[in-house]
Amino acid sequence: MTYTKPKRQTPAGRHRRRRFLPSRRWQRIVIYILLAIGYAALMWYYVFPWADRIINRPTLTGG
Amino acid sequence: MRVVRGVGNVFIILGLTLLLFVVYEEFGTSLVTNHRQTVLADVFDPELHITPAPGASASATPKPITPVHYSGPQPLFRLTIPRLGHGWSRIVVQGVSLYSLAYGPGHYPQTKMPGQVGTVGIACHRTGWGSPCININQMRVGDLIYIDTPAGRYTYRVTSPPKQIEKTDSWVLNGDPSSTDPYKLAITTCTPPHTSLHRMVIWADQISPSPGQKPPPVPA
Repeated sequence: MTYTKPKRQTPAGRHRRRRFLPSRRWQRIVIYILLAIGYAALMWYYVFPWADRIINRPTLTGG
Repeated sequence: MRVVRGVGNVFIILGLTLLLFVVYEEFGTSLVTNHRQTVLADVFDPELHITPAPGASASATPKPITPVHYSGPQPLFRLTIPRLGHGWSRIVVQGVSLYSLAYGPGHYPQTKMPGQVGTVGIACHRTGWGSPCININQMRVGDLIYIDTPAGRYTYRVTSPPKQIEKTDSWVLNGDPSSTDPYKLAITTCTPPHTSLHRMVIWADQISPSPGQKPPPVPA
């Protein structure tokens, strides 16, 4: 007698979960790294220069 | 439980973002400015007609001037302040907009140029963008400041200790009010370091050349 693993059934209706990230571990890690690099680049090239202009002004007003 | 974990993750990301911002301010901007100063030196130093040091071989083959592509603010003169560190020297560009100051110290356009009667006004960053004036609070009365132009070298002597002012005190660009010297210098920066809460000014008077005299050539 052989054991057959019962198929996991997808929950139907409102209990159904959609998977956003791949199931393989290494694929998820790659996506996390890419997201981190993209976030850092967005900060470095757009947000930080904008913040620097606000907090780093050595000149005199009207100067 | 999921909410707590989500809030925790947000705080971790915010903390890492703040750390990255510190790295950007302290090192990232300085990398950009230091590279630009190197390019500016290639563009501007040949205009200074630097004289060879005494004893140097006069027959040495002059270094060929290679054209360098440069499209930033106009370089005006080289500022040298020995008190700020061995070899401290920066090329000052025209303008004090944040765009100009990302290339190095900037010259207030409404102030005079070296050699003209009035005050030469210079602004420089204390944090980030090379942090050229990070140690300006160490300046003392009597310290010398050199400005090298294509016309020659102008030497200034600091007349008062660093003074904290407010960002609206644009009168400091008229030079030290206690000085009667017609040729003055004013350098402004931020204080305390890593903030823009207040400003700091250094005043100096020109001691060389004497009024009406031609400046000596820039030494090697």
